[in-house]
Amino acid sequence: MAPPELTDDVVEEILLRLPPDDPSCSARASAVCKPWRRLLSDPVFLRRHRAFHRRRAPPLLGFIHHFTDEPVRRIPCFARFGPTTAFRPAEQERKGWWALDCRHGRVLFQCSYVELAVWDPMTGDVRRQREPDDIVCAFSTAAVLCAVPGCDHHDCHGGPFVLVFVGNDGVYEGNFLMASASSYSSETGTWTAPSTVEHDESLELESKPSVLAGDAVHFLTYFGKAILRYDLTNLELSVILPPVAYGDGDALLMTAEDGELGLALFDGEASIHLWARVAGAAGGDPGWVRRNMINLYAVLPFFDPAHSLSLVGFAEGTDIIFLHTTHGDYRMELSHCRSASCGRRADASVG
Amino acid sequence: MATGSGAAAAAADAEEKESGSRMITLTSNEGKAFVVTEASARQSATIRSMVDDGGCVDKGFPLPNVDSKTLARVIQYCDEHGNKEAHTVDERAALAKFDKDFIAELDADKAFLYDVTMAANYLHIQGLFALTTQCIADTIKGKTPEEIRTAFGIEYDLTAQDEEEIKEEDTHA
Repeated sequence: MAPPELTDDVVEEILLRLPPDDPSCSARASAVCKPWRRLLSDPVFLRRHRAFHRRRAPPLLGFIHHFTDEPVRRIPCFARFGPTTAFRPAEQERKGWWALDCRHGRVLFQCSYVELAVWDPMTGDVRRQREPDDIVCAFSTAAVLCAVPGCDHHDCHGGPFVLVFVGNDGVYEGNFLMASASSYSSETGTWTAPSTVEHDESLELESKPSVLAGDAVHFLTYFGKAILRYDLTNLELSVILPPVAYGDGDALLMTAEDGELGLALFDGEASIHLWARVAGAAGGDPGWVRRNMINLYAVLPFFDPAHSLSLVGFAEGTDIIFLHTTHGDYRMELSHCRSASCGRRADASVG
Repeated sequence: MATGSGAAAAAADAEEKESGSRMITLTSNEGKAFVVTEASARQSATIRSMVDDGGCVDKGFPLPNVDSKTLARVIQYCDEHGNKEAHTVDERAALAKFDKDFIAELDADKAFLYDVTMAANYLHIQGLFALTTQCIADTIKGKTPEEIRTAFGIEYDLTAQDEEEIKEEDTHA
């Protein structure tokens, strides 16, 4: 039986909802029939389509990857923009800069031993900022975010931003048992007083991008043994322990479906386990809930458990994580359990 | 005073609307009557404007474009969204869960999904229309043009020249 006919105005509303970040979808739809073809190339419809999707999450334009064979922190290297759309920034490479974080259309680099730089790939604008003098550390990383409450980040170029800096200190038997964090506001031009935590296991920071979930920025420590949470409201650093830790595996912070903190854990065998940190019932303490498990044999074309696999990055605002394997780099859509090759190393993403 | 009693009547009307205590009858194209709360019926912008314009509330609203099966399903959505509160996080989560289950069930029967979409469009039920059209758009993702034609019952009408253009676009993509 032929399906009931949808009127032209309803078809237009359906096509309006095709994803803006998947051009192949629109291309296939425009090869369906003449009326669809006309509509999908109509400038009025295209304007409506852009306006409709502007209200949603900004698109993923590409990722920043380090152009060196063996990335070791602070060894001079190239940071290069790897596009996933037609967008190309004015300058694609930054010599000697190390990408630390990327969010709300801004990329944060370590550009010298004491200096950070915020780069806007759309405008090419660079803002340099000295690290906080109050935090003495051997290892550090930082995060960048837009400072405007309720901003949709489609047009906040050049607007106020916040930096969160976190560093390790307190060496005991080769382990860093202390971490301190401070935040910087481009509006006041000052760093806040540091907040420090101590822990009986190493808090050595992993050089992976931070994750913003709720009103806090989260940083991962080595092997996913702990998560450092910097609360943006009360400016306090605290330690969150993961639900499990796999000795041979890898960990990656992400945001879960409903925007809460998520954690992807590779078990060192053939699965990635996805966890979410959800609020406790009746205002109780938050706890970890296991959400999903991804079988790598089903997702990666050449998966071999004998070879190494690492989880390198998460594109905030999407459900895309980046994986590094001996066969190359992959971007994986978690909701569809689908992967695609990036062909090279991806260390941070640009939303 | 005429104006004074008019204002009083309007105030009484407003109070009644506020309480949502009035019942409204919707009649399908098969003549079947469905009695719903005003709060439920007001999910439809079409019915809302008729009620607010002082239309024939007592006589009910005949819906010549909607059959009984479709209307029953549309009312199920309107009841949930019109009669329930959505202030707290838990209430909103319950509504979101309802929407998810509602659309998953409809998605299993495409012909019925299209009927409900057309009814939501005709009755201007914004939330339901957004839900069903997004669901249909999602089914287009990952389909070939041929599969889309089958799913939508569209006849192939492209000329050789169109085909040539599509090939050209593919090589540039």
